[in-house]
Amino acid sequence: MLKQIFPNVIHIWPQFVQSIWDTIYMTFWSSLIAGLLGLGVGIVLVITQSGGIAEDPYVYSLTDKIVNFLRSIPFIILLAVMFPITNFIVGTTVGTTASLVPLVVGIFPFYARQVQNALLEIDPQVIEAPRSMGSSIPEIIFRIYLREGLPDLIRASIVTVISLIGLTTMAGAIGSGGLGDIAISIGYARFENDVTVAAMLVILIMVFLVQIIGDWLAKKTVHL
Amino acid sequence: MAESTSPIIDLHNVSVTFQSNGKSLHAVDQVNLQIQPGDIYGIIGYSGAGKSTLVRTINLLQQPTSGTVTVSGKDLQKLSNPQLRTARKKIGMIFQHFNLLNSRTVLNNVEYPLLSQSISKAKRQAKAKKLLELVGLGEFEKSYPEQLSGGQKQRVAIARALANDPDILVSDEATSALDPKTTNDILKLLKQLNETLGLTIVLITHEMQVIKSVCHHVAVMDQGKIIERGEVAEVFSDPKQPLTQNFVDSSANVTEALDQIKSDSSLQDLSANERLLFLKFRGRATKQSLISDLTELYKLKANILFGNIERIGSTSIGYLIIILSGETKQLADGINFLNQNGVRVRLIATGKKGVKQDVKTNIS
Repeated sequence: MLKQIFPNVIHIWPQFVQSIWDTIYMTFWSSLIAGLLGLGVGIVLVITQSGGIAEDPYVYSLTDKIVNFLRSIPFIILLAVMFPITNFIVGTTVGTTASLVPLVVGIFPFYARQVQNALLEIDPQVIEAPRSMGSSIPEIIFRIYLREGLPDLIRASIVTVISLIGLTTMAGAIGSGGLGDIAISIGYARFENDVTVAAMLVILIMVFLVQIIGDWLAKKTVHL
Repeated sequence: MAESTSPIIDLHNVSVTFQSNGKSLHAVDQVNLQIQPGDIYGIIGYSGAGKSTLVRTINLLQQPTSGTVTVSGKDLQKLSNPQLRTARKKIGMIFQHFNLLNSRTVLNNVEYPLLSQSISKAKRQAKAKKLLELVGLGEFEKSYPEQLSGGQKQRVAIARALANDPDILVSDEATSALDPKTTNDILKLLKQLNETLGLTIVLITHEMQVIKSVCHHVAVMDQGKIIERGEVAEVFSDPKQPLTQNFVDSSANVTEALDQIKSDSSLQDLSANERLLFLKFRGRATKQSLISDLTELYKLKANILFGNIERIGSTSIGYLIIILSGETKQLADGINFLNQNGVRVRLIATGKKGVKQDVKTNIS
């Protein structure tokens, strides 16, 4: 049965399985690195903005401009532009590890904005209460912002990880490996359409799983 | 207002100026305010008067543009950041919208201020539980704020504000989002905390009722300035400023009654020997039978349209809106008689062919 619908997938089965792992690898590590980076930058944007707990117009304006600048570069161009930097950091420009550099640079500004929006949802008066109790800035960040904003942060993270899965397939264009790579270099180039369809199906399943797990987590953190 | 003890809160010449669109807004304008330890000090004013901005300078949540803020003998503006945070722990604050942490249970909310202290979790929770019992919410420790009513949320906020054993509690419109009964319960709790813990309470509100029921002293604020201040009974029984008078009148529903009576068309057709009067009794005037005297001595008839007595501390203020009818000469004499006995008389309307001139001279 499977042999009839996906003959070419069965033919390259070990390679197909490997590319699933490659996609998971790229998504996982770039989520983690870009997540931490984006979270940090998002927090900086929130606390340094006017009226923030560490108001600083210069830091805010600089961070804001960098985020806007990076967000405005189309990802496919970013991949090419990042080549020398990737080579410098990783020592090579091909493969899954090398693709992490442009993936992180491509997604963290997006996540930073999402974090900023999520944290701005918290009523400023709720932040004023711990200030009146003598909480320090790190205490307010870790005990108030990140906890009160958790449901929204989880939702923002789901959106980001799903976008990131999309970006990993684009990185396939420069030989990163993974499902995008296989869909283009085998499915598209060799007219083996079943490989493209199978790659798409696996990606759909991944997106659904991320969405379901994320929704479940977000629901668990809201206390009504 | 010379008191022997030194004030726990001393705001000296405090101004807060906001810049918006090139214009300066003086939210707080050269305010001097001294509050004694153990006092319940009310600050009343309409929204926009600058009350919130003023009390936020007490813990420097709002930096004053000029002036000095001294709390418990310390000049807060001279403190370093960590020192200021330590000082803030001794100034609890509660808010109109409670500002609880929705991601934490009631117990964790009360525990929050203690997290930065180096005490064991068991001790911390024991203290939080004790505070919850103090505010009457012992059995709600595992609930989340969203599951509580407004009054219960404010009790949690009060327990949280007390966690660091503050000397001062600042209440920023803490009862404004609550219904009258819940407001009373919360005020009773504040009064009880003031009496049992010796907590100094600074309370801002736009409701006269709140000031009357708990405060010892009051300051009336308007356009960033304190326009009148003193002991509650003194200030409200003999208001010097129109705004203060306004608060007293609206508290006794007089403003409303006057508006209604003025718009009642049937009262516009007074005959020549009728006068529509607004009488305000204060002090000894409230203890005399002046209306009966009018009938006996001047043969005047009084038809009472509205009456109310406002109690402020040990003094009462009486309000009457009456139609007084009788001989023109007697009317003038009767009004004179009221004036002499400390009643403030205001003529609202007179009969069409009325002899307004005669009466006018007698009306303050």
